[in-house]
Amino acid sequence: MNAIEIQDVTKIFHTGLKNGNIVALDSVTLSVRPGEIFGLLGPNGAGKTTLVKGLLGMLKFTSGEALINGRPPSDPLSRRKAGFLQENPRFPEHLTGLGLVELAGRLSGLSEAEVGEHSVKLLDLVGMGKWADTKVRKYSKGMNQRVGLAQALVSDPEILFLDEPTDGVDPTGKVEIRQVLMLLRDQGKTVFLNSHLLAEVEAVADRVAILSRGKVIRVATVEELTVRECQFEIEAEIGNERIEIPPELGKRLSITSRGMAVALNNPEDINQVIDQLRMRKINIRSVRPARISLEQSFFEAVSQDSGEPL
Amino acid sequence: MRGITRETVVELVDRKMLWLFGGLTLITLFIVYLSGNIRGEIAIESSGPADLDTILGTPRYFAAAVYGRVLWLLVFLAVLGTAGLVPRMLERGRAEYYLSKPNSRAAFLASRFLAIWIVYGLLVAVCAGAVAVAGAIVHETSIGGVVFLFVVHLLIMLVWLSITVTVGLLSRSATVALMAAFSVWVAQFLLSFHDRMGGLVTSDVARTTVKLLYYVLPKTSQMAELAVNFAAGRPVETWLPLWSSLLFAGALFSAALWIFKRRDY
Repeated sequence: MNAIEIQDVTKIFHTGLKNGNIVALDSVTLSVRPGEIFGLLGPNGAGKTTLVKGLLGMLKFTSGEALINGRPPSDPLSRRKAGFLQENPRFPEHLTGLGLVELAGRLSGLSEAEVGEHSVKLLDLVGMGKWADTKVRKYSKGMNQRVGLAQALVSDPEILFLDEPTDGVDPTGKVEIRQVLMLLRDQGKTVFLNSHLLAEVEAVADRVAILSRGKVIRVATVEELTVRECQFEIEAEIGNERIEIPPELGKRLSITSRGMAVALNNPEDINQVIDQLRMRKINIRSVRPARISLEQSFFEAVSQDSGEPL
Repeated sequence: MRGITRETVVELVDRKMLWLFGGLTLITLFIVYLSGNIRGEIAIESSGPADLDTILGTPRYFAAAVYGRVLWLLVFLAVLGTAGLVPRMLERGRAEYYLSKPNSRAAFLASRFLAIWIVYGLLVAVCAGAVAVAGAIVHETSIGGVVFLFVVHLLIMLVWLSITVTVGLLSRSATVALMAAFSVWVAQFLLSFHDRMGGLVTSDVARTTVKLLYYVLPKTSQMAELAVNFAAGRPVETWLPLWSSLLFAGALFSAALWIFKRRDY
């Protein structure tokens, strides 16, 4: 059973007669396997937060079905083993950091013993131990995010929904949050990560979905999204040799004295290119598929979908 | 429920409500203390045939009426102080914290509503209790039905909370919630004279409308009057204001639950 199953989900916001309706999600179908870190990418207004809120029962999908741990979002028990850190949290300011995490534990149905045991430990985990007794109103944005992560983890969730978790967090904090995510993955937890920070998603996510204008336009592993299927980078001692690629194989993209990049019609043809170099007694150090950043891949997918140039 | 109740207590302390209620109680206690001396002065100077009972009613009724006013003031402050609690907890960025937990919407709102009523009701009861005890000591009298007076005023608070919570939920604004509560208060006060109003109105439609509004809207002014009469040992002509107001609160809160369950956050 998948941790999250989304089948043909649509959400239409009715905004009144003048403005018409806004289609926030348009026939979204996704599944998230247990134990994976799943990144959801998309430009502003793509429907990322709407999707997460719908999965957590905060809003009702207009049509389609979703299951969290096998239960529909309308069933409160679907959230029994789910944690959530929202975008731009505005936590109750009258509570301390510890009070906030403890309240989250009580609302999640934990016993007083469990609340006490988990809260302090989690605040230490997110680096907020020494600020535990400070009122939330005195926290910076980054501290709010950290304490928000602690409250999301208090019920020892099997699925963690994070909406822009590192927003406003300093670089050290970002690394620490990333480490927490890796730790959660090692523990077999499922993480559903909404983020604008593509480098961050690239560093931690196993699979990624790209959402644009309410539609899923791509679902793939980070590897699949960042590897150029027929392009290769060859590191070799080329020196001043002139190397041409036969047109039937593909073309040369660039060349320096230390290597070259080629685009082939068929990935299998890389062997012929290697043979050609070896025949010329050129020493090959490495051959690897050409990569692009997740950011570049994201922009390409979104611009293809919208029909607008990058 | 325990989490929400504890949070309501923390919020009450954080918002300095204890200071406000404590200060008001101290002022009332001081007035109670002064009232002991005032009564002495009147007793010395009133040597003529005038009967104080005809001026002030029976002492027991007078005491019940005074305690009733003190309770009303405390309930008024509690309603004023709590009107923003539900809209604030459902603000964007905060609602997600509460609604992402494994609780049904109905259980969540009912817990919050009851927690506000219990916590602020206890505060009202403690402050009013202190005044009642001080009054009993200073005037060496006690009111038999004081507990009933307390209970009815806590029920009055429940009725007002049902209005502020429902309107606050719908409008997402404490100000609108208070305006609605105040409007209902004025309307129900005027409608408590519905018999006399009916006599003045010539149109049948208007008379029926007045009557209908009287029966539909809560009757907290009459509830308070009923409680004072009962506490003073006077006969209670009708219990309609009590049960119909509670019915109103129940119906309104059920509507709030229904709306809350369907709303997107």
